[in-house]
Parts: sequence; C-alpha cells; structure tokens
Amino acid sequence: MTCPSGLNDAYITDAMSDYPPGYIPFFTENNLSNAIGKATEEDDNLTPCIIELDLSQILKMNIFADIQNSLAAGDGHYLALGAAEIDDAELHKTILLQSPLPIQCIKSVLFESAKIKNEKQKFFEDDCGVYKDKLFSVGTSKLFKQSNRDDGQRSIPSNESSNETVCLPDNKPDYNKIFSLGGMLGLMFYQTKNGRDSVTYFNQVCDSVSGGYCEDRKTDLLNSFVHDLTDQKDYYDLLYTNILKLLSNNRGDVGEVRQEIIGYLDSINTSPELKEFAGLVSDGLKNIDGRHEKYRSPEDVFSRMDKHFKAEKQKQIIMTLGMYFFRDNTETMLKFYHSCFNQTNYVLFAMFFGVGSKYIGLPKQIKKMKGLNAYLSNRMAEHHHSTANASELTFKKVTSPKFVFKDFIKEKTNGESDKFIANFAQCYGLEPKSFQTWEVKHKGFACDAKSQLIFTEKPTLIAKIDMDEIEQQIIVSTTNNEKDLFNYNEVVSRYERLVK
Amino acid sequence: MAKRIFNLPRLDQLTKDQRKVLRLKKEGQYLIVGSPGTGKSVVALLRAGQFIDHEESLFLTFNHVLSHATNQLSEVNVDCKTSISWFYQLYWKLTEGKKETFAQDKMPEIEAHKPDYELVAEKFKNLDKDFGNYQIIIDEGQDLPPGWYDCLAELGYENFFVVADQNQQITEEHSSRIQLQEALGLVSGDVVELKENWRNATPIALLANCFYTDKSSPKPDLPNRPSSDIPILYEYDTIDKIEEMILSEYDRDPSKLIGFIVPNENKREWYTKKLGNDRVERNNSKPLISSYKSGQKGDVNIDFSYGGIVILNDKSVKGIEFDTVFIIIDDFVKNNNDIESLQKRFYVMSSRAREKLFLFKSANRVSVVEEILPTDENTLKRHKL
Repeated sequence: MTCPSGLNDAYITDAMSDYPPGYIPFFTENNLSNAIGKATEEDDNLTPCIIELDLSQILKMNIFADIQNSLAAGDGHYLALGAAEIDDAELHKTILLQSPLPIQCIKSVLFESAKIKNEKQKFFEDDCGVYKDKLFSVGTSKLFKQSNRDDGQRSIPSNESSNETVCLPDNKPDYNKIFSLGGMLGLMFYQTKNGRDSVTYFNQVCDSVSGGYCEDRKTDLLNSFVHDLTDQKDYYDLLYTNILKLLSNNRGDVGEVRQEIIGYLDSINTSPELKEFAGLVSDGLKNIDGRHEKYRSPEDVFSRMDKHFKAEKQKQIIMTLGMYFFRDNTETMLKFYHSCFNQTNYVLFAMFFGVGSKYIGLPKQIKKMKGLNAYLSNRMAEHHHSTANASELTFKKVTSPKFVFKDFIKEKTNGESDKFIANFAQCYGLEPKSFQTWEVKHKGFACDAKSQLIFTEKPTLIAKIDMDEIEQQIIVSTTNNEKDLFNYNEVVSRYERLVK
Repeated sequence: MAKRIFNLPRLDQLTKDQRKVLRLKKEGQYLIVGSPGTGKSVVALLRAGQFIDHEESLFLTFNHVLSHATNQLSEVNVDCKTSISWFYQLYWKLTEGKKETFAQDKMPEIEAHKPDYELVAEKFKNLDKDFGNYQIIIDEGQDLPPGWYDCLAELGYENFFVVADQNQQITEEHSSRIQLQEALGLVSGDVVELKENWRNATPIALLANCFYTDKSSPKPDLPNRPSSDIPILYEYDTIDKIEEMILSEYDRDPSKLIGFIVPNENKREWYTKKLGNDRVERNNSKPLISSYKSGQKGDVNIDFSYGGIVILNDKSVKGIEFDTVFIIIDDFVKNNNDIESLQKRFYVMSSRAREKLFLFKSANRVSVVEEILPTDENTLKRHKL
C-alpha cells in the first residue's frame, strides 16, 4: 500500500489526495462515506473497494489521528498516538500511517457485490497469485451506503483537548528504490534454484535490507544497490552503484536506459584506470547496440569477455552490462545459458534486471511463487522504514519461501526425500547417476552358507548428493531459451506430496 | 524454438486514457480512434477479456492473420472471428439458408465477396430480431463499410465497441470517422481518441510519420521510447546478404519474432523457401519460418507466441506487430501515379515494428520508394551491406 507518489500516473484521485504526502489515511467503519465518494470522483465507471487494515501486523508505529475534518488537515491538526490508543475507534475516526505498508497489513479487501469481488479477485490473482485465502470479500451494504453524517469530524474528548497537536514528520519514500529492491529480490529468489551460493546471496541481501552488510568480498557488487556505495574508495563499486541508480531512477524504455548507461560511461573521468575501463566497456556496448558484425552473437562476445578480463569484478561488471545490451527482457535473460557464467553472474544479472523492471515488472510466474509476494512486500516496506529517519514502523516478521537447495535438496537424504530427488531429476532431465551415490550404514553383518548377508541390525540406506554436480545440471536444464521458466510452485507441491 | 514475450500489457503499462477506456460499461456505443501503435487493439482485446464469461460478447477483426494473432495473444479464449466471414455466416444462419437452394439463399452480392448491404439490411429488418443484449467488439472498424453497420443495426445490435484509424484504410470499402460516428449514433465529442504511440520505439515512429498522409488530423504524437536503433536502409548487392542479415538477427535473440515484408506473392514464396533452406550452423536451433498468402483465408500457421521469422506481403500485415521488421523496398510500384497510396502502405508496414526496423534496397536498381523516404540521417540511416 503506497501513497499517491508510489503510483505515478496510475494514481486515481481518492481520499489520500486530501491528506499530506507520504501518509495513508484509514477511517473507522462508520466514517467511510467521504472516502467512498472520493474513490469514484474521477470517473463514474470506477468501482470502490474498502481495505481493512490488520493492525496486529505492525509492531511499532507512529500513528497520527486527524482531529479536524480532512479538508482542513495540515500541520498542527494531528495528534500523535501510541499503539494502544487507536483501539478506541469511536475516539479516532481517521488515523494516518506512514507509507508504504506491506501487503501483510491488509486483513481483507471488501467489495460491494459478489460479482464485482469475483471479477477483481480473478484479475488480481491472475497477475500476482494467491496471497491468502479470503483476502477478497463482500462488505455489508451498510459499509458502502453510508450517509454523509460524519464528515470525518470528531469532537475532541475533554481529556484530550489539552494535548498538544503535532506537525507530521516528513515521509518521502524513494519508491524507485523500494520497487527496484522488490524486483531485485524477486529475481534473486528465482535464481536460488541454481544452488547453494545463490541461496546464501539471497539471504545475505534480504538481511541487509533492514540494516547490515554482506561481508563476502567475493560479492562486493551485491551491496551496491541496497547500500549507497557512492562514497566507496573502490572505483568499480562506485561505477556499478551509479549505473544501478541510473537504472532504478529511469522509468523509460530499455533503449533509453542503454543510451544513458553509455553516456555515463563516456563521462567518467575519475581515475585514468577507471576511465580506460569505462571507455572499453562503452565501446563494447556501442558495438553490441550497433550490431557490428563481430558483436552480433552474444555467445561469442561473452566468451571473449571471459578470456579478456582477468580481474573478477571487472569481468562481472562488463558481463552484466553486456547481458543488458543483448537481452531486453527479464524472462529471456533468465533463459540465457553460457558455459562461462557461474552462480554469481546469474545473481548479478538478476539483480540488474530486477532493479530495472521493479517489482511490478517481474514475470508473472515469479510474482506467483508461493509466499514470495508477502515476503518481498515486507522487505520493501522494512527497507524504507528502517532507513527513513522519521519512521518508526516495524512489522511482524514474514518468513521467506522455501529454497530448493536448502530445504528440499540436501547433501544427505534418506527415505522419502529420495523420492523427491528421483522425481525432480526426471522432471528436469537430470542424471541421478552422476550426482547420487548410496551408502549402507550398518553395525556389522555376517555371511551365511548361501552367501547371503545377515545384518545384526536393520541397515539404513543413505543417499549422498554431489551438490556441485546437481547444481550444474539444474542450471543447464533450467536456463534454456526453449523451455518455460523454472516452475517453483510445481516443485513445492511435488515436494509436499512426496515428502510430507 | 524460444518462446516469445507475447503478452497483453499490465494495467500499469497502459496510458491513463487506455485505462479509462477499459472502464467503459458493456452497454452503449463506443468509437475509439487512434494512430497505429496507440494500443487500440490492446484495449479491444483487454475489453473482450473482461466480458469473456458473457456469451453475448463477440470479437471481430478485419483479416485472418490479425484474427489469428489476436487469438494467440489473448490469455483467455476470446474466439476472435473475421468481420466479413462472420457476417456471411450470420446471414446464412438467420435466413436459414440451405445447401440445396444455395444459389437463391446465398448472400446478395454486388460482385463476388461484396455484399449488397442495402438488400441485406432490408432482409434483416424483416426478420424482426433483437440482439440488444449482445456486445460486438470490432478491431480495424474503418475497414468495414457503413452498410455493414447498418445491417447489424436492423438486427437490433446496439452495443458496439469499435476501434479504428482512418489513416489505415486499405480496403476499397471502408468507413470514415464521420461515417462510423453516424453508424454508431455518436457525436464528435463522444469519440475517444488515443493519442500516445505506445508500440513503436521513437525512431521507428519518427520514420513512420514521414509516410503519414491524413490531412484531416495532425500527425500522431511521438512516443517517449528513445532508442539507439534508428531505422537503417541497407543497400545490398547480393540477396545472400539479406538472408544472412535476417538469420543472424534471429540467432542473436531467438525469442524475437521478425517480420519480413516483401512486395508481392512471388517474392514471398521465393524468400520463404530461401530462408527455410539455410544450412549454416548457428548458436540456436533453426528458426521457425512461416508465411501467409493473402487471400488464404483461415488456416494461418504463424505462431506469434514463439520467436521466428514471418514472411508476408504488405496486404497481410495490418494490425499485427513484430519485434523487428525488415522491408524489401524493390518492386513496390506507384499505381496510377498515386504517391499517397504508396505512402499509406509504407505507413502501415513501418509501424509494424516495435523495436527495430530495417529496409533493403538493391544497389543495382532504382526504387520508386526512394521518392518517399526521408533523406535525414537522423530519421533513416543508410548503409551498404
């Protein structure tokens, strides 16, 4: 849930337009008439809905009660409340919360009729998957057909009238960054199907979203977007961070962003070494864009980059930018395989494209991954509220979705999880013989006259998985432009069916 | 074969005007006009999706290729039909035509495939039908004559959602904007105009605007989709270079659908064979080469949901779009010295390209198309292949 500036030109006038920017107003249930009227003011064909707030999801918050009618709202007309005070709905008919709020704060979305509810639910779930059962409901007609009796005004109870009203603290969410973060984490989660390193990177970055830092030097570039690295001494971090910022702030077409990247690279004059590198990268990218004969095949270009660049960070940067110039769509990037790419490259590609596409631009299959939207929404909101000085909002923790290479596939398996591995291998065309070995654990045995082994106790059979090998096979199998994207939900349901 | 990114846009990707159009009620008469790329077909299809559960909704397009592309693009089963075929079927069904008496029961025609709308309207009137509950969504509504609409009105059809562009009339029988307004009972202020080009990258729209001929309305606004891919006119000396250029463009990203537009049926057949016979080893598997002959009616075998190369002549490209378009300009002729007609054809062809547009011209021949091409290198670059 965002304030109008999070919606850009998709914003349609509603009750938020009467309140200060950066805040979302909530009304008590007998005080909705103005808000409902306002929601359809711009166009007669609009359909109003009511979002019911789940306050229990907010652990710590600044809440402001509007003590005047909304039209007169402004500095000095708000009362700062503690969490306990807002339970008395009769006292505070309008409260303001700082934007953005994660999806977990939505208890329900109410519509006027079952017909409208079904239409809207289908529309939402087709695009974003199911967040939770009964999220969409039909509200009572009383909710939607209130007389204009209250006008949002309230009389200040005598015990409060002496309280000092406060100025609302500024709250200016950087929505480009928040949504880019959601896009980045969404694609990074998708890449966790590649293996353990990708899972580690994802967890590190998710933890760092609300403070903290990925310490792994190997993955310096992972920190680039979450933390502002523009004051870093490492020029390459600086360059990469600036390009990510440019990508996030641009709402235009890929072609426009490409031009801006080249413009930025050409303008670099920080150090002779960096200038030389930026010039080299810029020339290469111009050649890709201009379809110069030698640069027509991405396969050849990436092989040449792999050979030419020895320093890992330089190679990672140019390969990531190269990918952005060869592929203009997230989905086709995710399906591009090259033998010289490792898991870090795939994660960096995901980050880069996710920053550009933002959460809303994630492929549908990824937005629909079980449990992912609630988790990402929580991370996005936490990021803003933990970094914005004025904000004191924190939310209940949302657990991340399960990982294929942490929760489903482990180095040692036995019993039912073997069934899953066999099924998984068959589904993705993997060769279990090359990554699975079996070990019999026993406490001794003897050989009888018929050469049969007699165990003293029932032996146990343990499968060992060569994780490097299975990871390599799954990357090859699922990074393929002739196949659909990896179907995470199907793998989860298969695991649940076979193992639980 | 690589899957193409071929989805209907998300709501947030639409313009404010397009979103407003999508909120229009099912009942009523609506005329949506706009230049190529303003998303007319997209809003029509999204609207059809909204009413998919209503049996009384019908989606009609002008040609078979567009009808086929529409069916593939739609995430729901919209069951798009071609306007004229559907009209013939409707007549046959309502007048209870019989095979045995085909000659007398068939659609009255002025000439082959041209219904006598006045006669049909009279017959429909006498049937005393009421299709008032039905909604008809029509794409490329300008390509249907006013008589077609009048006939449906006689059957009681009153809910129309028509998207049209006067500048894209390529049929002999068509309707002007005024005629469409009259047919739908609208006044000028009721017509919704989509102005923002939404399909083409800016350099492509800039070139397409050079072929714009409609004097009654200003050139469409340029889209805000900057790109470094300025259209290029390649001068070739051998056909093999064209072939290699197109095939290597496909190999670079096999998820892209490339449209190769040629001037006539002979060239279409010839290039289809030539590209299909490519034996060069490439990074990706061979592209799916498909084609469609104008006048082929149904049975369109082009798969718009996969990358590949589609070879068409300019009469079959209306309403559809490709990621990249190559046009071979040799052999286009100026019929009856009609330069405007040639411009209209190039307006339609060039605006089929979403991202990249390339033209080919023989180094050994003079093409009449040169007369209408801009000389400004910022609009059309010129290179030798």
